[in-house]
This record gives sequence, structure tokens and C-alpha cells, in this order.
Amino acid sequence: MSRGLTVRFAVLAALLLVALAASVSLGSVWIPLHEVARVVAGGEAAVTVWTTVIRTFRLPRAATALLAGAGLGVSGLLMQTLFRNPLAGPFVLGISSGAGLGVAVLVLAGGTAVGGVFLSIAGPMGSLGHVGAATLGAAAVLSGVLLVARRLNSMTLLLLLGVLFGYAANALTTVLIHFADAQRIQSYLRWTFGSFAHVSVPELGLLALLVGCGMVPALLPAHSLNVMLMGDQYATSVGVHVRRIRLIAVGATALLSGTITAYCGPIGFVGVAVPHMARSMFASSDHRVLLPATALTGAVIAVTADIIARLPGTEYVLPLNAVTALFGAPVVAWVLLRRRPNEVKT
Amino acid sequence: MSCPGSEHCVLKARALAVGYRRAGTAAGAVLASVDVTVAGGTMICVVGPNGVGKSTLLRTLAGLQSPLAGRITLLDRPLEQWQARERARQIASVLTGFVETGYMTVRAMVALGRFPYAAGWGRLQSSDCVAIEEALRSVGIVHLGDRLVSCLSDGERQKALIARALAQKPVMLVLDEPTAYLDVTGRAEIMRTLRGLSRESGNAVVVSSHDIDLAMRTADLFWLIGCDGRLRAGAPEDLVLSGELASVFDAQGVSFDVQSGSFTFNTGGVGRAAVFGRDPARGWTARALQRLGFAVVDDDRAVDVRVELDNAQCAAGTLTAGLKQRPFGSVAELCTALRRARK
Repeated sequence: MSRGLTVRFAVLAALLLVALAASVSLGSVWIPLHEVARVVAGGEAAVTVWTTVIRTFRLPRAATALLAGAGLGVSGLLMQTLFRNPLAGPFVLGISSGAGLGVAVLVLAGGTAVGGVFLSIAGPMGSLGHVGAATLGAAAVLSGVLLVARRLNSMTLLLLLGVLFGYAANALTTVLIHFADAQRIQSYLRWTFGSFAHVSVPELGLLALLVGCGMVPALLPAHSLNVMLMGDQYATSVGVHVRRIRLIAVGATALLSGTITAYCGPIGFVGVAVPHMARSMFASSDHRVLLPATALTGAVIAVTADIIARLPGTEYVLPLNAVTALFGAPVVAWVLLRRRPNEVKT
Repeated sequence: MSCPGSEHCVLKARALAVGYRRAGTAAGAVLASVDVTVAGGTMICVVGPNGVGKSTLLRTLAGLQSPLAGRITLLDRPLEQWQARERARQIASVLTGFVETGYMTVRAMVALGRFPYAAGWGRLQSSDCVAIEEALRSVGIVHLGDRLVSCLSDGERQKALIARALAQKPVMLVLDEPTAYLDVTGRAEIMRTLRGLSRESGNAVVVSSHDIDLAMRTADLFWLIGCDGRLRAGAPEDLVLSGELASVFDAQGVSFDVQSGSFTFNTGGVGRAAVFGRDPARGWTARALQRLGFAVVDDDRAVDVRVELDNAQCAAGTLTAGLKQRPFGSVAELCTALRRARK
């Protein structure tokens, strides 16, 4: 690994540590860093409530943000490489629409005639909560996508099918919203805002396990993905099993984005923007560098966005999705404009 | 059937049909009953009009697409029995289409050609580095190694793509129109490079091209494909003399001139012209008359226009059109004079 790379990774890791520390320290109450350190090390804070606040709320929240950011970044990179499209992201396959529809059915459908029909089809979903509904929705899309991806030769067709499915799911959601009462719509909307705050400690374990399961297959084919940048034909010509890599990448993306959407809602922007930031910061197209870089950058962005969203020192919170886009867009624009791949690398 | 000459046989195709399978219907063969042999150290140009299946044939021979019928053997083993990576150590391709590579440097792209030899995450061994530098050197772009592929000119990018293919250390190179989008010198340079590769490293080079003139100067063998879906293999000169090259390309007012070995517009509609003088002035004046639509003939019986040149170096002389005689000092003046004379 060259020195430039090591420095960049070190800077990113330091940024992540700072962001994590800030994330645990800042909030509606400010907890001094040394108290945070003591609790993290297993001790008790000077104020008893702080220990509870850190253990039950802030640490799981920061960890959720870290996992979600890393997972969304990596799956966004996979999709951009697979589709060779800079606008692709983790949700191009329709995963978030599927999860959204699942939640919509759960939240909006109760008490209406249409909803009754939906719920009777969905069966025991009502008892599962948001996460269960979103997981079911995402899993349904995931299996559909994998089934199609295995048979289709054309990735463009898969992309189009994902977009079409998204429209259909959104249409169904709109119908549900139309028939639902205001309270339920509010509850559904809150889910669409996205949040890292609703993951409990045991749930966090499961989230970490699933994200880990998605990360490993995402990292393994890094070398093949480099060749895939040149297109499927070139990849085939040097001996890459294009279909296999495609299936692995689609599967990993579906697992990552499906799980994260189920727990945190449809977090926009991170998945599309972070891979571009990583490419630009590392001036690289090598997936062996980009995959870890994207994971780290995604984690930093998500943890930071979460800090901003809770408006430290106040009792108000902003919708997470608004923060990621509103604060993230200018940052990404600046990073992209600062250095373009047309410039000669020195 | 053995390969002609003493060169070893790299690839053989027998009763090959190429095209695209359509679901539900019979296979749509673009090109059928192809029998070809590729020998090491030869440069083969695939020529023919657009849409006759040149690219499809090349992709099929490179193993990127399965044949509809027939069989292909690579080094005496059926092509479909080769593992993908093993095959990639024998056949390398340069394909058409733009490659968007972002932050990839030339050297990094050439390194991708080492994929068939890579283990694990593709860490480069010293043998890989040697192969990469060798590939860069053989197409003469060592100085571009650290440039981004996206910053290269079209000609440099083609060379980088060829270097990437060479890094695979193949016995056979398949290139689909590598000279498209290039200027005249760029085209000549690429073809010369390919010819050098076939001569020096003994690679078999199969390349499709639309530049017949250049192809004729560089290729050992032509695979001429006509709109009838037949492939004729032969030395370019033989195909010219047998008239097959002309018959494939003769269409819509353009024809292949066996004498000059180049394409000409079918002319003669304006009238007959005779030019007297010495070359090169005579030749270029004749070309100008052809461009204006005259059929240039050798004897001055029954001609509409007669041009006499004073010397060999410049197109100055006398124009006789009908009963009038006009002097001219250049081709441009001759053209003006002819236009006036016709009025």
C-alpha cells in the first residue's frame, strides 16, 4: 500500500473516531468526553442517567449509523460499477420501494376496507412491527431481483425493471395513503424520514450480523469488479465469470440495503454520493481501495448526519433524510468539482 | 486439414455459424458455413460492408459468444472446453465501444490484462509487472503509463487497449475495428503496430477494419465477407485479381478499381477526357477530371475534352474543349476553364 493511501485511510479512520465520540457526547444533554470514555470502558458515569443514556440510546444509535452508512456506501458502489452508471445507488433495484410498501401496508392499512384485504393477505405481519414489515417487503423484492438477475443477460433491463417496480410500489403506497387516516399517514411519513434511533441493543446485534453477511461477499470480488468497469465483454474476455459476480453483487446489495432500510427507513443520498466522494478523495477506480474507502466514508457521513439531525443542545430533531441531502449535496458537489478525473494525475 | 505453411495452427473453425439465438424461434445466423484457420505469426484482416457479421464472428472466435453451429478448436482443443481464465491466457480482445474508466491510469488498465494469471485479490507479482511493462513498450506508450485513460487521445487509448490485451500474453489477438475514429496517421500507426506484433512475437492477429487500402498493405490474409453471408479467405492481392473484392464492395456508385487498388466513384457521366503529359502532374490532373465527372481515357479519339500538360511538376498547360483552346496554370484554373467551356 502506498504512503498516500495509508495517510488517507488514517485520516478517514480518525474522522470516524471523532464523529463517533461526538455522536455519543452530543445530544439533548451534553456528556463530557471523559465520562463517555469511562462508560465505554465499562465503568459508571458521574451522573447515573448518563450511563443509561449512553448504553441504551447513544451507543446503539452511533453504531447503527456507522453500520448503515458503511453498508449503503458499499452497496451504492457495487451498483454504480455493475450498472456502469454514476447515478445508480443501493435502491435502484427497488429494494426501498419494497420495504416502503411493506411498512405502508402495516401502518396505513389497518381500519380501512382495502387495508383489511391487504392485512388478510399479509397474515401475521401486523405483529412484526416496522422492521418485520420492511424486511418482508425488501425480501420479496430481493428474491424477485435475484430470480430475474439470474435469467437476464442485460443489466439495463434489470435496472428498468427495478425502476418500474419502484413506480408500482409507490402507486400502491399512494393508494394506501389515500384511504388512510391522518394519524396513520403521519406514522408512515415518520418512517420515510429515516432514523438511526430506533434500533435496540439486541436488534443492533442482528443488524451488525446481517450487514457483516452483506459486506463479506461485497468485498471478495473486488478484483473482478475492476475489470467489470471496462464492461461485461472485456470482463468475460479476461476470464471473469460475469454472471456469478453480478449475482454476488446484487445479492450483497439487496441484503445490505434491505436490512438497513428495514431498521432505519429509506436513507437517501448516502448510497449514491459516498462512492463518488471516495473515488474523488482517493483518486482511484480500484475497488480494492474503493470498497473499504467507501465503507469508511459512508460511516463518517452517516454518523455526522445523525449528529446534525438531532440538533445538539436543543430538544428538536430534523428528519435524517433531509439532513443527508441538504448538508450532503453541497459537500459532495464541492468534492467532485475540486478534482475531476479528466485532470492528469500527478 | 493442416495449416498452410510451417506456422503452427492457433485456432480452427469448421462449419461455423454465428449469430444470435432468439427465444422461441429458429436461430438467426448472421454468417454460416465458415471454415477458417488462424496460424501463428499471421495478420488477418476481416473486411466487408457494415452489418455482415464481422463483429459477431470475431466475438465468437474470441469465445465471448457461443456459436450457433459448428466447432472451434483452440490449440487442438475445443474452445468450449477451455476454462475462462485458461482461454484468456491464449486469446485477448480489443472491442469496439467507449470504455469509461474514471480514475484508472493506463498502467492500471493494462494490469487488468493480468487477471487470468492473478490469485486472490489480484496483488501483482513481479512476473505481472514485467508483462505490463513489456506490453506498454511493445505498443510504444511507456511514457503514458501514469496518465489517466480518460485523458488520452483516441489513438493513445487504442494503443492502451492493445497493451492491455498484450498483457494477457495471448497467442491470438482479436481486435474489432481498432482504427475507427482515428485519423490517417493514427490508423496507419495502429495497423503497423499490429503487423509488428504478428511478425516479432509470433502472435496471430485477427482484426476487422473498414480501411481496405491500409488493410491491403498490412494483412497477410483477408477474410472477405460479403452481403451474401459467405466468407472468402485469401491473400488480399488474390482477392483483388479474382474480382471478389470488387464484387463485395461494388454498390451505389462506388467501385473498386483493380488498377489503382483504391475505391473510386463511378464516373463518366459528364464526358470523356484525355490527358497528355508526364506523371505526377498527369495523374493528379486525371484525378481532378474524374472528380468533376469525366471518364479519363488514353486515346484522344472521340473525346469531349483534351488536356495537354507542359511539364511533369505542375498542372499547367492547354485545355482543348470543342474548338476553343484555353491555357491554364493550375488544377483550380483548369476546373474554372472547364466549367466556362461547358456553359
